[in-house]
Amino acid sequence: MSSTIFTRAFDRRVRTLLTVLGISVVVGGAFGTHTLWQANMEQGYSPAQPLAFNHAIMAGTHKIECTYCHTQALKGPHAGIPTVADCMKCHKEIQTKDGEGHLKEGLAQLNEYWRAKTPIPWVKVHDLADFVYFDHSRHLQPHTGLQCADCHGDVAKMDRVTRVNSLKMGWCLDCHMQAPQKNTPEGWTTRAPIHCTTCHR
Amino acid sequence: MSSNDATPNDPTGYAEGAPAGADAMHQGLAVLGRSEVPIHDDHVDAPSASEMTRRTAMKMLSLTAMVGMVSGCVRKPERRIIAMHDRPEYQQPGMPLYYASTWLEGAHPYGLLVKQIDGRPIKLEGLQGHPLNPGGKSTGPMQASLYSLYDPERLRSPKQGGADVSWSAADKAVVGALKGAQRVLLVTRSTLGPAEKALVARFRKAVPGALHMHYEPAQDRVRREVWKQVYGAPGEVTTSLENAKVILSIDSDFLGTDGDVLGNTRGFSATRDPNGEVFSRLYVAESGMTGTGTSADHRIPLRPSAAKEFVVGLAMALGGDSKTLSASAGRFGWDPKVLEALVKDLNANRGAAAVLAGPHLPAFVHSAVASLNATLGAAGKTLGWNPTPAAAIATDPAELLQALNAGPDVAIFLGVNPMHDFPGAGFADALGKAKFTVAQGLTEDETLAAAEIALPSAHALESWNDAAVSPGVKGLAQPMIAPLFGGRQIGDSLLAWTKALATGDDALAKTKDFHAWLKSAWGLGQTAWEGALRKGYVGSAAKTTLPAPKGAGFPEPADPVEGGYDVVLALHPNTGDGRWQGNAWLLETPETCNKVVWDNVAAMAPSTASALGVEEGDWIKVTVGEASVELPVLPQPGVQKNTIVTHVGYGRTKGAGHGNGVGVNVAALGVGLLAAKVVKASGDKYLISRTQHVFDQDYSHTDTPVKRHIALSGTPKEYAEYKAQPPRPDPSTLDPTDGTLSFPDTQKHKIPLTQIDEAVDYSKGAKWGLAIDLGQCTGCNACMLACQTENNIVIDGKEEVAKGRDMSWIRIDRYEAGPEDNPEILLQPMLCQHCDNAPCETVCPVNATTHSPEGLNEQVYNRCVGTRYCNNNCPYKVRRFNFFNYTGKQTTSPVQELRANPHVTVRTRGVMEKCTFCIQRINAAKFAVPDRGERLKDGAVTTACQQACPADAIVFGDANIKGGKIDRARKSDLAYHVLEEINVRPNVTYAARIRNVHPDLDHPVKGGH
Repeated sequence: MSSTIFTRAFDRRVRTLLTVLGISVVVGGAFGTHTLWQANMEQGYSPAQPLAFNHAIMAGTHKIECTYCHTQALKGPHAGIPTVADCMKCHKEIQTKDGEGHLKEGLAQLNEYWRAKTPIPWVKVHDLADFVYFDHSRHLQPHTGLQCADCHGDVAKMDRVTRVNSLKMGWCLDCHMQAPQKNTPEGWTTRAPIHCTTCHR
Repeated sequence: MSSNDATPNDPTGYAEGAPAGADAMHQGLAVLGRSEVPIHDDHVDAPSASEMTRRTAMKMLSLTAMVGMVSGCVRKPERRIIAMHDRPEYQQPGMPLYYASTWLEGAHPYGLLVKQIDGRPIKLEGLQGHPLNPGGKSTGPMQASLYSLYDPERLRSPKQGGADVSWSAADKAVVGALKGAQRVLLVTRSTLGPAEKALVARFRKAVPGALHMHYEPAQDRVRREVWKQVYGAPGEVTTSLENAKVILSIDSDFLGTDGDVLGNTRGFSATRDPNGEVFSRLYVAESGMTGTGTSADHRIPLRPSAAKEFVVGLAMALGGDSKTLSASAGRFGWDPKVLEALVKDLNANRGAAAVLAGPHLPAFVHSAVASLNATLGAAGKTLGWNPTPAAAIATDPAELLQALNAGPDVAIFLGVNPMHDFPGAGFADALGKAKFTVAQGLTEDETLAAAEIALPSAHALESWNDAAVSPGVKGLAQPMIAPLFGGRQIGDSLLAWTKALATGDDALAKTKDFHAWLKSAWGLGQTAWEGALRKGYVGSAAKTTLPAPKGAGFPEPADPVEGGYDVVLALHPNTGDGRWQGNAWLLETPETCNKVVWDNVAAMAPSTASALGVEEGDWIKVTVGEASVELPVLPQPGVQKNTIVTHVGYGRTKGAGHGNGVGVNVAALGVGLLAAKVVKASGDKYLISRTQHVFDQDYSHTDTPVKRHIALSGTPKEYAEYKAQPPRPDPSTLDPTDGTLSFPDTQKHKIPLTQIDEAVDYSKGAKWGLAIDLGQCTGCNACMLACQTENNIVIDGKEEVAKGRDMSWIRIDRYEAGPEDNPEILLQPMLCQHCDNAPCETVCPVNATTHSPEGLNEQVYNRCVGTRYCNNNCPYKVRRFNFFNYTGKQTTSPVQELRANPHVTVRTRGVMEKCTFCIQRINAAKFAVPDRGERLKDGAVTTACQQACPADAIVFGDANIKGGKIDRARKSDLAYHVLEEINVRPNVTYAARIRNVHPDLDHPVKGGH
């Protein structure tokens, strides 16, 4: 409990070290922020998924509508990830094999989940903070003119889903502040709301 | 916490005289290890300064640097999105599903509407159209019962002799004990449903000689027995107060705890419009202060043991002889003028009057009240009769004691906890005489802990059941979630044992579970059954009339003891008879009038307290016969002299979670009304935690009295005078520079304030507003608990509440006026006023609180940095700050996280929060219709408080709808804003209360509220 642990010389060395460390942290931090901010860690996020599912085949080659699987997009806040049972509605019949006669990798995995009666632990790509309340159905109202791809990118060309937009608040506001004004039956003009409780509550 | 603590509690650790250099660093490190939440802090050990070496210091330094470098480069943690394997029908992610059910935790099976999101029940409402609560209203305990469903304290496995066993082993042991048992005692609550009753009958057939007893700790037994004799059947008197012009309550808290409170409140509030066709008058003669007493137009403090004199005198006065009544009035200090008015009113309103008496009063009083009601012609008008009430008459506890003392072979306790709340002494000894005991309950309470076999029960929301709602109506309860902790409902236990014992009964053997038993008992086809489930009940209410009372000789109760004390062991307005003692939400909700949380106290008149020589927090010893308990004292204006009022159910020792060790168990004294000896006891000053103390809003006792517009009330005469004045403009459009004139002022007062902000045009879209009618509020706390459930509001315990850190977004303020022995109490729900000139918004340094174009004062948690400037600048003190991380892993168990409303952010430490006008509900209502820019219909949005309010005192809506609910409320001549003179322009409008005092007595109360 006294000052005998550190010698004065050691203290001096520590101070010098801390100063150098401090300066490099500040300079490095500023440089890092500057270079990494725009193309930040969120944008371009493309995690490996537990199942080799390919949107490029489903939405691209076979041209299946997004809402065919993401059934809730027009009805509620969450677009909805299809359940294993939903997948199997088609894939009980469609069991494509590769050139060597083996089941395709993703299908083999799907069958395994189906047999084990367990859900698929997908990794979230478009993940918002818990204090953000985004509602898919509201954004897909006819008058908004929005398409899924406007936010999610052209998923039909993605082998593995990648986040193409930052989904940061500023990015949301870019749209909300430009939304076209329109006349309503009662004669008021509405536009996409920008007050806080639109998304935060 | 005393304010003159000698050592400053410096959060930085650098208290005065702290050493410099390395020692300061040690202190700093110690501070880093300091626990931030005052509870459960044992697992965070501060590194001991004396063990610090250079090596450890270097290790920590380098570790810190590494953590700092690494964390800067890592993306936020990977999160999974897991859809179900197979989705149940109807269920959509994040979208609510509603199920009809029945509330089974009380004598009145109200309809329930359970809101379920992603398979989790997250909110309960009343069921619209249900015969008992047609407005979809609910009580506080109904709202709070979700806490008990997700209570981590719940028992998780059957136990035998204290060790976990499987269900089959437990059943085998029970059945083994029942086989060949000569004397079997089955103890249940008195509120078994019809299917459960049939099962009990079947059980008794399989176990010959089994005794079945109905146990209720705080009993309505005396009154029910009187009714049985007087009206000739074991029924229940019902009320139709909407037909009443004059109501007299004799110590009956009929708007709070006594009887069908939702029905009573609905009927009563229907007659409380001062401009309505009928404006009823309520007389309350009561011993303590209750919500019913605050609603009274005339309140008479009544010594409960003098209720006999009161009723007898009144009956004679109605017969024309008022001498006895005036003699008693002189003896007991009742206001003769009020009594005169009462007699006049009752005489003038025969056929439209009702007299109600509290359950704790002696049999004589109840039979006298029955004949009084017959004299008044109440039958068929204000009072009705239910020959088949949901609750059976409880067994006399003496019989239970006797049966146990006879040494039964097996004693089974289902859903009761007599070990804690048995009225009187001797239960523990008697229980020891039973050879084999089985108990089933939600948590391992006192009775389960004492039993050989302890079984976990399923919560009512995890169970199938039915209920006799009212004559001709049967209700259904359906499970909302699979039992969370492997519990089993008591019906399934009984069925399992009966099946094993009733050999040769094929039909029973084929009955899989209680669900199947219930279904076959109902005998409906699949379509009809599904229809009943969807509706929640079947049948329509049959009209039954109150029979003419038969004279019955009941012994006259003893006269009040001169110099002695009456003790009333009352039901708590929140925790009731104590069955919700493990529900921390209800414990932290303040008592209606004294605003005490987390305790039961001995409430007594201030004059009684000074006669006993005690002050708040001192202890008294209450002795009834041989039993005595010590209670902390709370002097409370309005409580009758020489009367102690306290609440039952407190003082739990096991299985109540946060409720263990809260309050004092008074069960040993007995039940109801008792004559007692009271003396001062020694003991340290006890901290009584209250959300509000007594104060005078007008500072009328100081040198600088000021008339403040906070809680306003007046009399019909004042109202008539006020109405004769030129009309006052809508307060929301009022130009403050013009001065205001709000009831009950009859003179305009100029306000030297001007509008400095630019006026905002709110006329385009919606403008949300809320209106509260003070004339309707009974202080039942349902709004507080509805808000708590809906908005994920945390509780923070007795000590934090004592520091003024209670977290509720809506509170019910209480203002007292008039004499200390019988004050007028005005209750005022207070919540964020969503001011258009909000003082909080201008001081926030980070713009975390802003104003929406729809007039909402928004609070953005993710932006808040916790400066608390907003709270300091709020004139209404409705903002709440999270001083600690109440929602973190240390304080919230994973199962409690399931309870949270997913549509409302769970707040963390260091952010301000407050009422949002249920913005999630506003948004949901908007999203429910296509976005064409159309105005939402009036009534499209219901806030949680409004939805629960049994008196319909709260309305919410768009003030821009002309002729809409809010528009009408604001244009009422009783409408005003709290603290109008400071020009913050609130969006919450209050309507002043008109106390319908008798014209003969209409003179203003001195002192104001």
